[in-house]
Amino acid sequence: MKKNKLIKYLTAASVLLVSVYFVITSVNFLQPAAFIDLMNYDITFKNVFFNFRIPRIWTAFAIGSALAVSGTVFQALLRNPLADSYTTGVSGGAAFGISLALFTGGGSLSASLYAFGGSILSVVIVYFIQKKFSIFSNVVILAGVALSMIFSSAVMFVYAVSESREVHKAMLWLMGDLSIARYELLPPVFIFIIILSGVLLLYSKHLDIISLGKEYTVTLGISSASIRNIFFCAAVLTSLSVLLGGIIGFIGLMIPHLIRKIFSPKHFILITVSFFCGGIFLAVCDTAGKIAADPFELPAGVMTGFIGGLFFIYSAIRRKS
Amino acid sequence: MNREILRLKNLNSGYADKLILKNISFSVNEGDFISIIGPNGCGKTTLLRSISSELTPESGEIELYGKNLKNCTPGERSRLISFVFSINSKLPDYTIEQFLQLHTFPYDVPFLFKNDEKKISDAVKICGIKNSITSSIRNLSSGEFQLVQLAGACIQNSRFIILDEPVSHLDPRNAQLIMSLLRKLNASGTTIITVLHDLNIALNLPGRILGIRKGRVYFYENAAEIYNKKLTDKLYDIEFTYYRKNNRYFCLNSY
Repeated sequence: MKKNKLIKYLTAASVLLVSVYFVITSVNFLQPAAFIDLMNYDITFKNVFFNFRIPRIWTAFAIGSALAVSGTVFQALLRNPLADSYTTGVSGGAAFGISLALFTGGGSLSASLYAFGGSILSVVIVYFIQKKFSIFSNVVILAGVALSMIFSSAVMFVYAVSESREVHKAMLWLMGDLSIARYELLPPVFIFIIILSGVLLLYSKHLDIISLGKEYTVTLGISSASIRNIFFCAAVLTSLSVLLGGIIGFIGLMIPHLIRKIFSPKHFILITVSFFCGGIFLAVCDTAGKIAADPFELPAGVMTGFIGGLFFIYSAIRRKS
Repeated sequence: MNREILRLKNLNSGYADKLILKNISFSVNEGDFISIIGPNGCGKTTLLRSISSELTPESGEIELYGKNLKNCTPGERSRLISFVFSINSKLPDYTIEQFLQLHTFPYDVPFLFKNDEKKISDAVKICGIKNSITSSIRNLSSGEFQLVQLAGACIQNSRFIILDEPVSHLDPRNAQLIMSLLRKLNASGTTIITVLHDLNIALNLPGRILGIRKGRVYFYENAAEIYNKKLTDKLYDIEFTYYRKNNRYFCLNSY
């Protein structure tokens, strides 16, 4: 039992180290010596590395951690392992915002802000629904799904009346393409992501109880005000990730699921580990997307789907047998 | 006379468009051992859910230690009564220890992650949990899990515990284990209200029995009275065979 635990932590640590190494060296990951040479002698390379590469890694990290933490929280709140960061219809609202921004001729920054606005709009709608019906009613999930449908119709409508060039740009956003992410937004947004994750960490015992179901939640004295706070923090966290990098699927679903199986169902550990794993996972996916189809870039959202999906199926099959 | 700790006055309660409990009034004193019986769907669980505030009553009042339940904060409520529900859904993969730690929540200093370990180990001892506290609650048998839930209730509040069908799906041995544990707790001062389906258990408990029929209080009597007047016949609309031996009451089906 103890030996198992040791092996588990050693594996986790080595995966972590390899990931960090891979993300930093990127294309040069097979030739570390060449990478060090470039860093020492090539000023342009060094500039590109510090001004573009590093911010991009941090952007990916921030988005991934926000999605993983909010996914963890939504799975607990809705007591549904299929819930994720987007269950509240946040992605639908964001997609609509992005499409609208590009249709009205806005640039990448206004796309970010429109996306943020759209996602906040859906958060507010679902927030009031859960306030009226309680988080324990299926109405919340249904409302999130219905809201996504409504927004996706609205997106289709915008596409139908706009130029194909703009449609392509919007599509890239919806696939979670970090190459058009706005790095200047990173510092303030990242700070907010850390603060909100920290607040949710304080609520970890609440979340432990909430995931036991309605009976325990009511009788152990969790107030509906704290449930609303938790919901709101998690939803805003998702919106912040949209603001940084568009819509990136699967992280909010997969990371919490795996961490719960591998480490612990206690939310203090779950949230902490998900924060780091989600961040590193997205950074790895983004880097892999850059390398895989050089000189093109595969959007990070495409890579999370590929890598995450395959790994997820593998681990599910392995557990069953 | 012990003081009154729970009082229901003309309670009407139920779900969205269906009123289930009609005009329920009764009261419970400190140290009582009340069992609630009645046919399926008569409103026993609805009654417990109204007392736990999971359901908001349509009208009428519930008073807890003289205070209207409506005016209690969730925190106050959780320190006054603890509940043991019959849980059918799949719970997260917590260990027994992690599960019990959650029951100290009503007394925790907010956002300070410190559990009262002594309280937990005491409850484990009182309830006689034999499993290692690091084993998962998912791997427990129904009887073992019921003990763990009861230990949780003791941690939360050992003065007033309300249980929903604690022995319905247990074998006779485990049922006896749970019931004698409840009697032991009651003897040391715990007030207990429990929903039961086994009349032979209910009739031989020290306290009164609340019979609910079609959402109304049908009787609230002690076992001797129920035995003498054969009150359970009408409660379930069937004829029982009653007999009495060594001061114990029996009420058997006639099939």
